[in-house]
Amino acid sequence: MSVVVAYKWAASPNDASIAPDGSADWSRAKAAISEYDPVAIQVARDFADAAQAELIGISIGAPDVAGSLAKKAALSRGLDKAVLVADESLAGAGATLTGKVIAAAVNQIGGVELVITGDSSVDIGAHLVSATIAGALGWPVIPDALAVAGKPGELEVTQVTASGTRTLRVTGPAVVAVTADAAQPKIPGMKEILGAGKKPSEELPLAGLGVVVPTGVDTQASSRVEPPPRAKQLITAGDPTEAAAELAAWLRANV
Amino acid sequence: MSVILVVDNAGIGNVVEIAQALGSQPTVIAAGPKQIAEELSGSLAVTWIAADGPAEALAPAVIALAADADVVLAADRSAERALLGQVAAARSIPVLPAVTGAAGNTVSRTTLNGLVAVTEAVSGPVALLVSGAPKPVPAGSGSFQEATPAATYQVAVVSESASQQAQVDLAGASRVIGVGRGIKAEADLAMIEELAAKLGAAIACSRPIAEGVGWLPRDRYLGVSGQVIAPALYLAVGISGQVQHMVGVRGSKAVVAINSDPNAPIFNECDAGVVADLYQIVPALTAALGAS
Ligand SMILES: Cc1cc2nc3c(=O)[nH]c(=O)nc-3n(C[C@H](O)[C@H](O)[C@H](O)COP(=O)(O)OP(=O)(O)OC[C@H]3O[C@@H](n4cnc5c(N)ncnc54)[C@H](O)[C@@H]3O)c2cc1C
Repeated sequence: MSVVVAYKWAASPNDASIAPDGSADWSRAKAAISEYDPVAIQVARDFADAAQAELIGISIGAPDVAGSLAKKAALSRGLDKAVLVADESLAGAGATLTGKVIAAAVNQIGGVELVITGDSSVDIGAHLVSATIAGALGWPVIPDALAVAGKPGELEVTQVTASGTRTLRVTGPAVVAVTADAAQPKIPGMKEILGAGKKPSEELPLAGLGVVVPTGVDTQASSRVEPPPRAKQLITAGDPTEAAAELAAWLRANV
Repeated sequence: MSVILVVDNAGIGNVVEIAQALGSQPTVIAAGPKQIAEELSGSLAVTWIAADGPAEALAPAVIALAADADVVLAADRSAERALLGQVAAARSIPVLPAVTGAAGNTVSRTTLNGLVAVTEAVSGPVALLVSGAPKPVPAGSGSFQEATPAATYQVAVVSESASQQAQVDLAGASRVIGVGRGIKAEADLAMIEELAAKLGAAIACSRPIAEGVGWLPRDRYLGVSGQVIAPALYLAVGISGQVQHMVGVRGSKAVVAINSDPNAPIFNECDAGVVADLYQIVPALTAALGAS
């Protein structure tokens, strides 16, 4: 019995430099396990331990997802095994294609009844991939999960709602997207990092998965988003009382 | 033909505008409370999926009803987003997030978490996730019909517990104070509350304050993943001003920042700013405002 956790290998756009034409220079941005995905891996590890299941991580994307840096970073966080689909054509893949490729990998592994994902990716942040994985598999998706209990095929999921929380019982296979604070991810130590080198990983060729790439969207123009111009009037008075008085005066005059 | 997926929020005026800009009057597939569906049926043709159970269970019915639409749209809210993503993958059509505008056959949106704006030409069925705060749908003529789902997923609500924390209408507030990780302890929020009372402001926060330390409820954080507001005053206290946060407050008339780091990005996006320790400025500002 295997539990799958999907994770992304990506850099933060906050560290990229964006040209006025919207093109991004990533040379000084370092890729890592995407911001919230260590939380997903931790939730999945804890669940797999309780259910006595094997934990398989799936990551898809450009060839660097299968690089040794990316593999070690993921495996050292507690995966038993990594399954990777690394292909140049998956660089910058949209949510539908990403979900379909991950779903195809899940089907290839076989016997999986639970896929856990993080909240959203550091680079795109659309919160969509959990849903596209589910849509491609024909499974339900439970977003905003604070906790996942039970066993694969019979889950109890605690979910955040607009007005509080609720518990859902999910029978059958499912995709669960956990919130950014569903667990405190453990930082891998030397032992985990060394151990990661000995853990198995497998690459699935994209061509073998039979995924049809969705088409029909062509970029016509792009530009850097410029924040609205503002006065940037800085109050620099050293004495807090004086600075506060200046700010109070500014507020009275301008708001 | 376009359809909008709705679960528990009838404020889809912004989504209707995008559908109309792409050349069609949208219909609605509602997979939530009947009362939301009925409310919308005053202005749009609504098909309500007649079933108990959460929207999570109803995806197969939504996918079946949305099978032929050229454009499938949803507001960027959790339950609706989950359905839209499932429809897109089931139909193998592209899904475009963070849509902000449309005209003819082109869609404008942002990407890279709000850093880049793109315009794209669409030439086939597509799913669109539309950004923005809830907006009422203008009155018009509509209709209501029920659909019995042929299949559902086995997802049932076992229990619900309401949050003890007070709900605040951030979108309706004319003044908002945002607190960030510059605040060192939960108890220090008392100092912010005093300032908020003086200013007549609602209190919001950055994501780590709601989802990291949990000092404020989740519906109070602002940004790409949170609420988007446009008050007369946004006062950011101990917030660095990362783009993911600023996207939620850029519509504010005035942005004011208090931050001890002169290099904090927020100082590039404010009308007025104080470079100082918030623990000194906030009480002093409360006092100064009271002195008038
Ligand atoms: C996919 C994704 C989505 C995200 N979505 C959101 C979102 O919707 N909303 C959001 O807010 N964030 C979001 N984030 C997180 C965002 O990138 C930032 O990490 C976050 O906004 C930072 O919060 P902060 O400013 O409170 O904390 P920090 O960045 O840690 O800033 C704290 C600031 O406080 C200042 N400070 C410290 N002590 C004092 C003092 N004594 N006096 C005055 N100033 C002080 C510091 O100088 C610093 O500038 C998202 C991130 C990702 C990856």
